[in-house]
Amino acid sequence: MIANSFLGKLPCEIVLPDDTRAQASAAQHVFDPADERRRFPRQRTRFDAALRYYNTFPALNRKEGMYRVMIRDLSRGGVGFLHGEEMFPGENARLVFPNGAERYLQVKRCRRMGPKCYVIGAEFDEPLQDLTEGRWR
Amino acid sequence: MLPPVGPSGGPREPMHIGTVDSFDSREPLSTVSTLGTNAGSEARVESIERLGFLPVAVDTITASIALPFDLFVRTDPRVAPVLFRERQLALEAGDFDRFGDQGISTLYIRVADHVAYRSFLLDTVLRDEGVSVGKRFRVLQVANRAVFQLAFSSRNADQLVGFAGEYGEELARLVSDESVAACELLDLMAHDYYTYTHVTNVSVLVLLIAGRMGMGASDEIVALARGAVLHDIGKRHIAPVLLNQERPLTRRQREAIQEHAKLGFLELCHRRDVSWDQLMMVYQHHERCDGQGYPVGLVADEIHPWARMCAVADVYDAMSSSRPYRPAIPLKEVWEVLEGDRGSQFDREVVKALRAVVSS
Ligand SMILES: [Fe+2]
Repeated sequence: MIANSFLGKLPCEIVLPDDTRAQASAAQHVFDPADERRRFPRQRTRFDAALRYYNTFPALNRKEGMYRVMIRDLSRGGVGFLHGEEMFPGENARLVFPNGAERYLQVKRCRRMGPKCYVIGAEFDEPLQDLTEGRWR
Repeated sequence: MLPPVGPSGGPREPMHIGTVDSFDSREPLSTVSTLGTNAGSEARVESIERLGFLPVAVDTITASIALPFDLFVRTDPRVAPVLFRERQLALEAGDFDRFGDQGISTLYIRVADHVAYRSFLLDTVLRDEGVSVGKRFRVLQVANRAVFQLAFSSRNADQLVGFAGEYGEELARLVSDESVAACELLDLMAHDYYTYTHVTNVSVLVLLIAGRMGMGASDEIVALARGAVLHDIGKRHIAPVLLNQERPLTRRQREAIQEHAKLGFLELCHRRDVSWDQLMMVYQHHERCDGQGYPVGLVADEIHPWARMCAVADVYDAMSSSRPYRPAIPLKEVWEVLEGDRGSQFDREVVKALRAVVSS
């Protein structure tokens, strides 16, 4: 388990956009075009998790350490989350769920919602076993 | 007399390298792009090799210089080319007269000789300071067309990256030549929107814009040119029927085409011979300063400066060229888009630099 207090202390660079429409759009998943092609059904959700860059592009000079990101949708095969920095397709990271479970992920797409708010769609290297919200919360 | 022609049987019109005075290419965007898929690309390269010949324009051959390739002639389009001059021999003035008399403007080389032909052109014309810049520019385009098309159709990106390295450097050298007037190069541009033509035009425009904006370091200029040559590499992976579709695209079709920026990035992002700046030209050249672009929707200076130059050059060339689904758009309207209300999509400084280049 990761204590909420631990997650709460991680730097979180997300600034939700001011206008409510953009917020609403940031709050839900934005990658509907691919939905029908997904292997695993996706569930909309809301919880925080920890992200650490892993094996990323050297030119980006990513900072070491963990960030708090906001998970917005989840399937066994991947995740959509908000982050304060742009991430690039092919970029890798490690995601730690509040219950301590971890997955490597690879970014598939990224869309800007505001100056410090990006919705990132990523795939896990290994599917989750279970998607009950309680388990991953 | 020209030699007798051989038996008929050229299966199809071979890929055309081009001519110096007309950009006569029968290689449409769709055909080239199909090659992006592995199966298509293999089939295409195979068919080119099966044909065995590539047409070359008579006026790209310089008289009295030994040819590093066999040269063929075809007097009847229904029959295969026959040997006219063996390698190591030269064409003489009298040969050109006879070609003129018989209305022959195209000769043929073997596909396998296309690299030798390219080197020959570059050595005889491009390095010759006595040749006009206009002719040098056109020869540069002609010489590289077949190499580009083969590289664009190859299975992996190696050939295209290698091509971009050489071609980018040659373009940068030519455009940086102080004796070259920008308007002269602009006048020479074709606007057929074949992939190769588009890549050449965007590269030249980006170089002219960069020069105008004071980008001086020659290694940076060469890197910029190489990035511009690669900017649409992701189109190799888009179905050609989509790229050339005449009826309006559905939302899903448009999204499929828009994937090319990301696909190009993914194809190149782990290569050591492609810099991050160049990658950003590939990934961000459809971003717009007002955030309405793709793939990310970045705004203003969140977009890499090289990508902002590429975006303006890309739109300028795309609009002023004919497309399968519409004729070329008049320049007045192109400028309205770049400078008018919708100009908020583009970097003002870059548009201003292009305007200065075009009206210089
Ligand atoms: Fe493009």
